[in-house]
Amino acid sequence: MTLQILPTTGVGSFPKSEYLKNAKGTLDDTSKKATTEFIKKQEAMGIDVLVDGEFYCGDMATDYGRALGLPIADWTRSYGNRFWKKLIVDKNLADAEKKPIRQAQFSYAQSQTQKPVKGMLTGPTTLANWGFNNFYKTREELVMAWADIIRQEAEELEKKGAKYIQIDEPAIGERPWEKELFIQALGQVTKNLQAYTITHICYGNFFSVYETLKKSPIKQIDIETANELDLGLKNSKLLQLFKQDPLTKYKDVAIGVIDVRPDSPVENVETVINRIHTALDVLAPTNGLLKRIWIKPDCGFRTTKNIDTAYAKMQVMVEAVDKVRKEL
Amino acid sequence: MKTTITGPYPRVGSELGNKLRKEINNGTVSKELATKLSNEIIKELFSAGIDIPNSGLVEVHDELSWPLEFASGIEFGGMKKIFHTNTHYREPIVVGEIKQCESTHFDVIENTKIELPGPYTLATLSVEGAKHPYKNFKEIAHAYAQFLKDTVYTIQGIAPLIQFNEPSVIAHGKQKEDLEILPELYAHLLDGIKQKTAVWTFYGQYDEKTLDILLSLPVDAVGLDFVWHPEVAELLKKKSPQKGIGFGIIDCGDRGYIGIENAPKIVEQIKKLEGHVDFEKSYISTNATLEHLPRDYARKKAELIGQIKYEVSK
Repeated sequence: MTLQILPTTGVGSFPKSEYLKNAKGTLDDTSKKATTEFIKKQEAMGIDVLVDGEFYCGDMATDYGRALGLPIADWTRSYGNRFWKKLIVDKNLADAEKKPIRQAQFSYAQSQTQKPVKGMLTGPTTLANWGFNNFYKTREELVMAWADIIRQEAEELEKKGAKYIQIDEPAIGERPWEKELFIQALGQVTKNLQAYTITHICYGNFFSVYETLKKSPIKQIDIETANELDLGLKNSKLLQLFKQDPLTKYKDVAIGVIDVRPDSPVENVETVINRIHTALDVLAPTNGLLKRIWIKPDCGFRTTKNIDTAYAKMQVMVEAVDKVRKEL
Repeated sequence: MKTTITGPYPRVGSELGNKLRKEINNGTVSKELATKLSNEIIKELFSAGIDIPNSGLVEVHDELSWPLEFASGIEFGGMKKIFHTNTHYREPIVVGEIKQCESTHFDVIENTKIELPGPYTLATLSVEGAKHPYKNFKEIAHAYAQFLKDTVYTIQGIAPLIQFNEPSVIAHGKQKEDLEILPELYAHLLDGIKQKTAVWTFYGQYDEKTLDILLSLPVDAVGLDFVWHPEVAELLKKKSPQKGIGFGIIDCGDRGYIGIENAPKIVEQIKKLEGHVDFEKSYISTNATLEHLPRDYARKKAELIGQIKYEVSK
């Protein structure tokens, strides 16, 4: 499928209605209904590559533990009033009786549309960092054990027709001293895949892992940038780095132009157009590099104020991209 | 030796904590409920054997940027990871003169310590906005020192200890070339403050130069992270510091382990420094915030600290 210039996409999650708030990883009738509505809405907006909204899970890591029969600890906080339950690795993951993690979810979402839907998984580094380890002696063993689990799941997604597979690694910036391990683990996950591969990263220490991003065995880097774009080239070290050595020379880059935080108001179209212009200035100095840029929100909308706000933000993004496409 | 903990305490995991979480989500939270939860946590910590708890910091969004809600000259930008953890702070953007814009509304509860991020860490985590009056990093750091001085000046004398957290001094990946400004920064901050004070460091490792700088600061105690860097004990032996040491020796869970340490081993680790460190002026603590653990484990860690103090005292 040929995509238009500046393809639009989502990152993953969407705010949940009250009846979905106890989701624990399993696709049921209520999460199917929400998925269908969200897919149809994205189609109507003209989004190019769709996401399923992750209505079936509460966070990105806990239900991976549930699928492997691991114990789950009580709540810990990530920020403000946001909490998640950390899984506890207490056995060799290769010996765990693994249930499918995201296969039914992908198949259902893809069955609702002719447009491509991303198959989405959490990456090995993030799963290792966002849970507790009471079994493996070293970080290498832990991360690579997760890499094997995620590789199996990614291969199953591909068999089920996923043309785009996104491996979320928001934890990449947490331990920059483990960057070689990060690359090794992602390589293990993607080694047999023919699909277009993406890794999403956010809230991070991108500056210190820039070289890692360039070398990662992934086709597209999906990165949170809305606030950096607002800071502008003069004040953002990340944009200065992009200008000096555009990441688009090495990878397709999906840039975040919508702020997803709970207190963030709906942007106006001009703000988003300005963000896109700033991004193109540093990442697309040539037409060849322009073709490597995708447009998307900073992250999933899970933490955004509510459903209406999230839809309004998506609509603004689509309108802004349409206007910029016409300028090009 | 006295016992303490560092950073916010897990607020969910009790009836009051769960209720507070729900009320914040619904936008109906009351000050009364937050105070009740704070008192519950303080009581929990005292009964675990913690001599100097903090208030639990149950109302802060994150452990680093919260005092800046009461500062002018600062806007908040994107969310960033707190070093190697999956906890986050709001990135401060310096857009004008940094000043206290109103009284900082944190409760000072008798017998609990006041805990604030230090000026060096605030400066290293800030980014510069389009317009502000500061020429360089050093000036921004001094502006934060003045802001913190104004913050603590009016509340000194109530708490048994004022602690400034400076993870940026040692955290992994941090450039350390500008550490030389720390002594003048703390001389500025603490000028006129007649109160027991401490600087706490965590999430990284020490070299001799960094340790020398920390031990030269005009504070009563320096907190060190023995969890990430147990070998700091050997460096300390060479220094025989006059001031108290905060033994950040109980793993707060930030490295990804959830077990409870073996008490005799920790006792042995501390006792190896007998004769090199003034135990009377020192503290046993977690290395950093217990928020990396669920509440039930946090409580067990606090109890462990109490038990270790008892064993060391014997």
